[in-house]
Amino acid sequence: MKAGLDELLSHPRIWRGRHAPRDVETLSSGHPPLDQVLPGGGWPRAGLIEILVERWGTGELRLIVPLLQHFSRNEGQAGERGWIAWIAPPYVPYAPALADAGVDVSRVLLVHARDDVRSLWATEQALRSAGCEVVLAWADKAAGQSLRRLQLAAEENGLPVILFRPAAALEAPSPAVLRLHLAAGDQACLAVVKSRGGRPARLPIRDLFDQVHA
Amino acid sequence: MPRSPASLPLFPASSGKREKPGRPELPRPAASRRRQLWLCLDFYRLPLEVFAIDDGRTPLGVVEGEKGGLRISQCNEAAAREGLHPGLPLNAALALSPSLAVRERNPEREANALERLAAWACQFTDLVSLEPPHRLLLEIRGSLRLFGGLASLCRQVHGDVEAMGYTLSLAVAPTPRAAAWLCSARQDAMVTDPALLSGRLAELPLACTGWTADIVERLNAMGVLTVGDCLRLPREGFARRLGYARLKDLDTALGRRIESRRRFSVSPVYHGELELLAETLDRERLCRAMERLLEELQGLLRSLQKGVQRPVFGFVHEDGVQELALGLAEPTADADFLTDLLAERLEHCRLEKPVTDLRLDSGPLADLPGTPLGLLLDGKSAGRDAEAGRRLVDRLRARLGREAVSGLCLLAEHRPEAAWRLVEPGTISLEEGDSGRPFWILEKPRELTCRDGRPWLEGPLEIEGGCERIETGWWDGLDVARDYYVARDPGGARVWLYRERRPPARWFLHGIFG
Repeated sequence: MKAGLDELLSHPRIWRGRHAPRDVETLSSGHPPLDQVLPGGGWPRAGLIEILVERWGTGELRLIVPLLQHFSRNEGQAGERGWIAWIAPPYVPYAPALADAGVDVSRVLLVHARDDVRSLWATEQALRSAGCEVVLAWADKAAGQSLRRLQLAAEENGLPVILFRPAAALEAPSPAVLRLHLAAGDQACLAVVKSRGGRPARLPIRDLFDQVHA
Repeated sequence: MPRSPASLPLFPASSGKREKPGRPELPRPAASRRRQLWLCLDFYRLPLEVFAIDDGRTPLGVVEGEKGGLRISQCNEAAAREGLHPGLPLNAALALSPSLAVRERNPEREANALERLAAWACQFTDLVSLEPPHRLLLEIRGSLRLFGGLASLCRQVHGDVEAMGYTLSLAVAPTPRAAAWLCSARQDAMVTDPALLSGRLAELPLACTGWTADIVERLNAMGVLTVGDCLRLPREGFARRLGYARLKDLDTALGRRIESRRRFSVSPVYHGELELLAETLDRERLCRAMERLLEELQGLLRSLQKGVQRPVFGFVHEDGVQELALGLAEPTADADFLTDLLAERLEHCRLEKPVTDLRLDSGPLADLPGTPLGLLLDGKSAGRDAEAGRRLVDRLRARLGREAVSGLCLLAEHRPEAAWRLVEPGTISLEEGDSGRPFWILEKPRELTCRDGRPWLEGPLEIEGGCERIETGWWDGLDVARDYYVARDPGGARVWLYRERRPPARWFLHGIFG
């Protein structure tokens, strides 16, 4: 009876809260409270992840540094060392801080683009090239069409792409697998706005980064 | 096969017993030599195709002959549709097709094109021989296994030639001469078994032998119409009447006499030129036309197992040449990849004038990074992340510019702004990181205003702590003496600032913790 029920519930068209679809592979975010609310217990292994921020520099890098550490570590297979691509970041990532946080600086690929069109093009190229482990991209404006292209490219190539955008983009719909909103200020919190196979959630920043503040 | 008793057959029917022929001596078969297999490639439309890639619209005719007696020697399909055919006097041709583009046949250009094709063909075998004016002979017995058999090899040859925009007819036979003759018949004949060779050759009309029209006419007048008819003639009489050279030709075709072929040796640089039929600014057409030269270059590179790193594309217009140089992260021999890069570059550069001719210079050739030959032959050698990664760098640079793509490295330096540098992607750093530093750095520290003695950034900055003193650099004149603090701005971002320890003791924003 139980087996029959499981079989029924495993049907892909049945949506159950808090359960990622079975075939979704995830990577731990390195922040236990966040892992708890993310479907599958971590960042999706492939697809578009959007992180919306009020201002650059309010914690978005601390959020993803454990993921970058993960990709810096997997040097088991010699041929599988791809770039950690940074496309059109608002400032220069500071190498000594990254190295201190355990990120392999020699695998950082910095790409400078004059406008959002070029940076989204570069992001798609990076996703499709088979030469990257993870792609980080920054864009002020991105049309739904180009987001869909990124999502598709990321899914087809089995890579995570993390797109940082201003919080103004919250109102526009997005094809992203996961959408987070980082609110700064007094009620600083991280909100899971959209997650495929999960529920909206809200985490106080202090819970997330308490080790930094301690 | 009726045979007059008096005549001694030139070549006995291939039975086990061989009759002892009269003079001239029948050469001994070349059984002792390693069996060979020859592929003949006939670029029979070369006189026409050296001029341009056919766009299917512009009628083009190549003429030759004395001044005043110029006749069409080859024309493209667009011209044929307007009623032109080889042999037509130029005047008549122009009357039929007023828009006809006319070029005088250029043997020098054909010879150059044939040599470039020979260089391309060297990827298939180490023995390529020129057979002017427009044939190549390739000994392929040893290459069959590498290329997956005869059919697969021929498919690849056809594919490449098509990509270059040439027309090809090919034939395979155990001797080079037989391959060339079979090729003239344009039947794509494949004869791999020496026992079947004489039968196949016998069917060929004499025109396939390439003998002068005079000799062919004389033979035809005697009722000798095919190669087979020739073989039934007595050797001695045949040699006396038609020349010993003709007899030698027959012997070499059948493999009774070894023909030594001169090996073509590849020159280690490539320079290709291509005339466009009509001048154009259309990037897509330019790219397509350049593909021919790139394809030729790829063949040369594969045969030498080398790659190009700084190829130069030339776009010739009426006043000169506009050059586009590529600089790659590592040498490549992949024509598709180079075509992609060129397309990217063209999209973002302004062509000065309509282009009439294309050029391609390989620049110095370089050793390929350790790619196994097997991968190279697949064409699609991408797949390894390291190589795909370098290609990504090239692709991004082709569109965004060289400086737009870089890597990071650490330097042993206490001044925070000098502890890192932008470098070529993939550069390994030996230094260790520093703790307590922000993830974002401002390339130039930004001076902050002060209000009521407190640093101000869209509001008062609240110092959270972490006073770190950095005093260094006195030896090179760029000395710094700063106290660094971590602060929180009103928007909630944590920032890294410092205050000069010397007057005027200004505040600067240097980083953001992110």
